[in-house]
Amino acid sequence: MSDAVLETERLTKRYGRRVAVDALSLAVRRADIYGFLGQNGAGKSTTIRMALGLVRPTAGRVRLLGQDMAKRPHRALARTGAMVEAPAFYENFTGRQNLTMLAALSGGAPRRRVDETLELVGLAARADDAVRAYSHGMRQRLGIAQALLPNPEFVILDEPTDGLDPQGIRETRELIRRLRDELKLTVMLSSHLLHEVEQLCDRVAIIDGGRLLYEGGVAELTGGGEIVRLRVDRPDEALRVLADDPTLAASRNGTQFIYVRAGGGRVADVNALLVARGLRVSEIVPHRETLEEAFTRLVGEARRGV
Amino acid sequence: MFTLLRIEFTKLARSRGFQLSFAALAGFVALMLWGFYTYAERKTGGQAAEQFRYTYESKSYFNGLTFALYSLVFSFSLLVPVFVAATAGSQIAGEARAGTLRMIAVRPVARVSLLLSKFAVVALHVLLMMAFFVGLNLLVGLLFVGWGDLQLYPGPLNLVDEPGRIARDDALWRFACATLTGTWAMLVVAAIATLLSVVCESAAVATVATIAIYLALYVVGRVEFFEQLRPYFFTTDMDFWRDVFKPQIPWQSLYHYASLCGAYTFGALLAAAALFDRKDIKS
Amino acid sequence: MRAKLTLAALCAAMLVAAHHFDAARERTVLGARDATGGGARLRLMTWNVGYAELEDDTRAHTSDLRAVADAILKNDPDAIALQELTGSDQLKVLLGYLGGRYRGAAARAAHTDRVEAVLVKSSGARFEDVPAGGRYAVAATFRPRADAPEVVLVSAHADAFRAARRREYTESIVDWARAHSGQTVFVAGDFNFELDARDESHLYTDDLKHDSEAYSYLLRYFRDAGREAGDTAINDRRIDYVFAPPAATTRRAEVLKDAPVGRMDHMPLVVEVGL
Repeated sequence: MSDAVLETERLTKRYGRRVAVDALSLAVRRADIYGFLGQNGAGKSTTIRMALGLVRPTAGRVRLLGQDMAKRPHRALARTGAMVEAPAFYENFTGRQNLTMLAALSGGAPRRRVDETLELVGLAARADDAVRAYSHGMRQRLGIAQALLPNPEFVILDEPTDGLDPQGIRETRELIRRLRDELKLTVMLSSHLLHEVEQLCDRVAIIDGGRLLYEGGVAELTGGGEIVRLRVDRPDEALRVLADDPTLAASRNGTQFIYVRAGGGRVADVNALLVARGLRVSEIVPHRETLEEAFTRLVGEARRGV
Repeated sequence: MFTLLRIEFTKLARSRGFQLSFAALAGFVALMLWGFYTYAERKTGGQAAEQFRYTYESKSYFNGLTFALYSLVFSFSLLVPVFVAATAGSQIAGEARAGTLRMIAVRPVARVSLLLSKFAVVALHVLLMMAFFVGLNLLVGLLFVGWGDLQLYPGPLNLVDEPGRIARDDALWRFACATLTGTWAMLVVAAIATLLSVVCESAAVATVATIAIYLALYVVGRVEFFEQLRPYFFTTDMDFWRDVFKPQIPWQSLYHYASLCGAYTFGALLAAAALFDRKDIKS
Repeated sequence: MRAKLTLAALCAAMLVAAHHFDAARERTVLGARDATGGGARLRLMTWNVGYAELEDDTRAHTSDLRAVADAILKNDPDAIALQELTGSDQLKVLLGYLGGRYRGAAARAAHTDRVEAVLVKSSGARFEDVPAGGRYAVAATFRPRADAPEVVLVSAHADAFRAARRREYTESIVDWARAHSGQTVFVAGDFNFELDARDESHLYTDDLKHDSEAYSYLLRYFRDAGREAGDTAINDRRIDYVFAPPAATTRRAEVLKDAPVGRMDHMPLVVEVGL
């Protein structure tokens, strides 16, 4: 039996002639903090909405917590918490009333549990104020709180740090860690803040134009020792030489260095190839990309058709 | 379903539109009372008294019950539909625009149940409005105009072809019936507004579209030029609610038109449910 | 899915119910026999024998009076209220065609070029003018049978163009009838009321109000005995009436659709009541 809490299989959504999500296959594993990355309009929110049954797929399938969302969505939704984009609440109700009301739709939560959750997100002191008096950050935290009620196994957070100040972002990051470490929840996180995702997530998926560019571990994506940085006397010629070998991926990233993905101990082969063509290699250093660099590289390659 | 109903009613009861609807109806009663008195004063003074002597010869021509009937008929045609359309029109589109719909829709709640519970709450709102309005009119009629048998005359109400009279106790029972028949008739407007609320992205558009359709058919249905089309307007069938004020209630005809209204209501709800079930919640 | 099926079933049930109750809609049965079988009967006719507006002279045409007499003789009413005669001369011609079976009188001419007339079978009838709104209607007092109580028939014709005048005229007629409270008074004629508010297209006039109030005033003291007979004039208008005392029961109310000749725009209304 698969340990995936969310699986999509060639998930597709078209609006007229525009393809928002194109045959996307993902798998979020139990106990993951799973980063879901993409630029604005890449199809992240549409994918999340399809995963939660808000939007009907044009084609493909979603299995959430083992349930086919086209057939039995409610069993899965009862065990899933979600915050999709900016959370919205009934403005003339208090934070506590909003939580109680929304939790009631999932089977209800005792007052103690509501209080604990408010405490967890740091809203206990303002729980009985009307939501209309809440700041943006408080609404974000209340959004996370409602996703944690009554007792989900899987939480989807779409841009939970959107609009938060650095302190709020740090608190949210800590909160998400606690969700996994203390509450043993699986978390799917969509965010623009790649630095945060890199610090939090075990696995990520990167999409662009509705298509999947990468899904896997963060460490694998950012290099993990397989990328080397070369200093060469004629970088442009070196790039042309390396491009002749289809098993190597080389880029310059606008610097004087050349970055080569040369897994499987092929660093010596790279060096020999360049030297054989008369190029002088003065430095070979193992390199680790940041998630942001990896993201930019992948999106750039995808758009160039590499 | 009970949880949904409770939540939806709580939301409605605390909404500004709900409170405004009762305040506006109370205001309308005050306006009717003012208009009634100024009319009476103008028409019974000097020469007017002579011309209208048959109107006022019997002091029971206008009494609290007649006042309540006039107020009810006028408001039912033009005022109540506005509040019904506003309440029902905001149910889906309003929540979609505010973003709260997606908060609910990611919960394990069947969309059709959500829609029907919202409609049930709108129906309860209509019933409360009708009961409040009928009760307030009767109370105001009793306190300010006087009590007596309900006198019926041909004329603006288009209710009877010849004058009639309904004894006071019987008339009070008729007002109670009118609360129910009026609610049932108004559910057609509520169902159409609910349907448009599913289709439209904005509560304002759904409400205005419902009111526009209702008023267009209501006005056109009263112009002789459209005589042949009149039977096909739902506004024509909605008029059945007033039949309870006829001296002899035409039960067969009342059941006929009440059934037609029911068909409109359930038909519109069915369409709304089918569309809402497949609707992409993108807001 | 279950909820949607329930809604579909409810919608279908409502349509079936609507159809069921539509088929069973009741109609007033006219001419139903009086179960008691007793009481005197009185047959009245009212007919505006004038022409439609598109004619040069919209008053009755003498050449039509033979046909008018034939219709009267065929239906054998006890009394007839006629409108839009040119005057006594035409009445004499008509009475001649009726072969002496009826006696009659025309109203005194006032500011109009046409008059009402009333004809009765009874030889002992008395006739009098009824002043109404600056003009005159005419009334006959008679006994339909020797052993029957005396009744009065007023032949009336209200203004065709101004509702306010119609109301004033009607009020005068009713007040005149109330002054004769000791007698059984019938009022018949062309009142030109526009009572059907559903057909109201004059949004900026008081016509409907005037007419409905005048009609209401009439119905305080009378029954609209010909109500179920339908339209009495061209363009689907019901503007000719026989108003009977509240105690009188309608046995028959019929519009004689084949009776008009020439360019007549009204049809005679025949009402039979039990006294």
